[in-house]
Amino acid sequence: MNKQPKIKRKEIALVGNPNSGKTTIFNALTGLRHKTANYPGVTVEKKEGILALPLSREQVTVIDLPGAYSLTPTSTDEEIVHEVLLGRVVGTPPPDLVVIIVDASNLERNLFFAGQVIETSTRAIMVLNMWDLALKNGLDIDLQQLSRRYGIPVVPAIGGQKGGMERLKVAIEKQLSLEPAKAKVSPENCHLPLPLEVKDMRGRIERFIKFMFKHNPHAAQGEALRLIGDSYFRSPLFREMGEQLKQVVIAVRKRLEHVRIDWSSVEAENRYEFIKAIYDQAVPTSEVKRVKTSDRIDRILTHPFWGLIFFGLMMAAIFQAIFSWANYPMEMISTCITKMSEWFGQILPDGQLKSLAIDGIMAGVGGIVIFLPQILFLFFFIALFEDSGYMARAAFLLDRIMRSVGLSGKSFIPLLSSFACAVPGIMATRTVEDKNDRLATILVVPLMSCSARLPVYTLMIAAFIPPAKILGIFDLKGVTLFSLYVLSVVAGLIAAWIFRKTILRKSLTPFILELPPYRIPQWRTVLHLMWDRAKVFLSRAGTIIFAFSIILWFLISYPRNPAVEQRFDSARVAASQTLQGDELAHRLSYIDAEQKGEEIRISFAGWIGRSIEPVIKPLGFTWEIGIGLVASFVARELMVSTLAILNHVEDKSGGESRELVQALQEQVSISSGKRVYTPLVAVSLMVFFLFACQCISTLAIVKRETNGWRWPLFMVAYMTTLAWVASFLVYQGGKILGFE
Amino acid sequence: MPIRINLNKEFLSLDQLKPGEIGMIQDYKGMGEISGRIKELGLIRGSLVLVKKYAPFNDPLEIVVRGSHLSLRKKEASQIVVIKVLPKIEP
Repeated sequence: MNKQPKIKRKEIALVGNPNSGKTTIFNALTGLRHKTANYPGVTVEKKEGILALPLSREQVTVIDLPGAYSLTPTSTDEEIVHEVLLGRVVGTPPPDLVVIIVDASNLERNLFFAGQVIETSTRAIMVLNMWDLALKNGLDIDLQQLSRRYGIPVVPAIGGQKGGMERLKVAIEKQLSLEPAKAKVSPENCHLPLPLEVKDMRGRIERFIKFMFKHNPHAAQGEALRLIGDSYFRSPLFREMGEQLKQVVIAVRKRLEHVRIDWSSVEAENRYEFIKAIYDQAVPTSEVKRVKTSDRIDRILTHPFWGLIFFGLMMAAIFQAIFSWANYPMEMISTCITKMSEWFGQILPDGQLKSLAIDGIMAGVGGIVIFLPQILFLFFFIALFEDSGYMARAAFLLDRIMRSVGLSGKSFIPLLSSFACAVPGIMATRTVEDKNDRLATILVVPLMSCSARLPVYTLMIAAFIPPAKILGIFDLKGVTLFSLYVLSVVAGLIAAWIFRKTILRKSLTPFILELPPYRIPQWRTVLHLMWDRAKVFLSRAGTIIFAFSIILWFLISYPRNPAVEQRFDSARVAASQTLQGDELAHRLSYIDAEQKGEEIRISFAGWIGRSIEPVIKPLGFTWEIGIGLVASFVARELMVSTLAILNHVEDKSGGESRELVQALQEQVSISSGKRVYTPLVAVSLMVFFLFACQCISTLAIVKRETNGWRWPLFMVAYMTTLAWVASFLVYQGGKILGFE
Repeated sequence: MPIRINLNKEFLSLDQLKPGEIGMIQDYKGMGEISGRIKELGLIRGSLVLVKKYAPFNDPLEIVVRGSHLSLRKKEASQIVVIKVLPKIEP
């Protein structure tokens, strides 16, 4: 890493309202290579790309900041924008240039945030994106007028078609070359006219907070005005400066109330008045044609009845994609993993390393990589919904229903995603702005029955649920599976309701949703989003799974007992002396499997299994199942392969293996001599599996998204308790009712 | 669009408007109780708000203000005081 010292690249920040097409401009400027990192201490992603300036070929860093409506933050995303633009991120000066993306077809509203940003930045450019749409709407925007009034360059652009990018790049280069003092033509122009009394009060707060803005002294003035109207005290300054600042602000508000000024609207009212003056000059034609297409689409898509029907169809399509189309690539990945394992088996010498590679890493990481196709499909749909504008409609349609359990309309898609895998589900909760809404959603997401549980259900149902018919038509096996899914949804909704009534009561962000005009999705944007998510899934979850797979492998493989090895070795020798050909091969593989089983029994995992036996006995589980539960922590489907190992059968084809089904049906516990599994035990085990948080990847991603171990630990605790109680009720209740 | 202000000046809350009706914002219930975000999005005194439609189960509602379509819950909408203005236009 010790290259010659480089001059630090200049930084350009892209900001704008959500739905202003910021990401398309970012992609158009920086091309395909992006770097995503996290901002220190928060879960917001920092997306960076490189832009080569057109004349000097100098490389500059472009940062894509999250969409924001205002510098008074109401979500974590907006807080980041606030901190970066105001130069308050530790060790990072404010960006050298701010490019403000404005939706030209929705100019008035977009200028609110633009104005706030212009006031705090030393160098800025305004991009009028969706210029084509504005023209189509009959908006005749006078660029020069706008540029003169705000004192910064204004560039029209059509991000989706990369239109106007050359002009923008030139403007960026020119702005970066100017001295900060000259970068704004006449910064006085954009100072908000305010009543004298308000200016006075703003000055009072400004003096008090000035020392917080060492990097960007003139940012204090705008912040002071915003603090007056920040009625919920959401600015990070309140957190840092505590009661003192609060008291000053409250005193200012009292003073304004005294002179009959509504402090809570003072910024909005004056800024919109200022915008109106500019807007009337810059957009002379008052005759604005409204685009009717969007309204027409919405007549069906947000219709109280047809809207829900359409939504249902979309969900059905997603399910179809996840559970049926994704099968083919999943099988291919599965084959690849098997091939790789075999290849490792051939090139690695017998011994611990081989066992670690195959039984530890390949099993653990492979078990998660296999879900990649499902995740890609899922994010394809999510990206499609987001880019077309349908996502907001879905939240609009479902908000009332979701609210009856204390969640919001935006929680629906994350919950739905979790039927494939909880990890992307938790990642998808980022669209939920309210912190407590989001936490409640994250906490119940793992209760949704993910597809990793499916192999366990399939195996147990195949082995222990009799092929009876219910009411003459429904197959009992099918009904069992369906009931498990219903149970998972019901439990999730009840849990969410309980969390919202107890530990996560407050709603901190009001539900305000923008319903942007429908747009034809940009394939580039959709694919970008899919790719980004896949990368996060593989890298972040992957590293932790990798580590835990090794730990778990260690628990399963150690301590070793040379005596056991010797015994099996001599058994092998004996077999090869007496048997030949197929019979010998069969015998040898049987001995291998038996040895594996024996080794697990004497391992740490076996010891854990035995020591948790008293706890799981009331659920009908023996210590053999206990080992499976421990192993399934790496990935749920490992339960099946662990059971296979314990039963000396090769797990050839997941849960469908005939041999395994038979072995389970006949398995007798070594300690008690009774059958390990009965139908009742199987049901109890499935219920346990449904509720228990048997998944380290989920915990890893929750840790990442909630920024600490507190919530993942809470999640394990509540889910394990729930699983235990539910299984206890099933098993003990079933016994009382006379089931076996 | 020619707008006549309703002469009998009846104060309503925004969620009392029917789809297709336009209100002009007069005030908010409770000082600083409603989120500042609503005002930042352009719902300030004097703004014209068209109620576009209600979601299934009558909540939330879709409104049009300054050309952008927003969705609010009834709870927030009930804190916004409006007077109805004419004319009534088709949703």
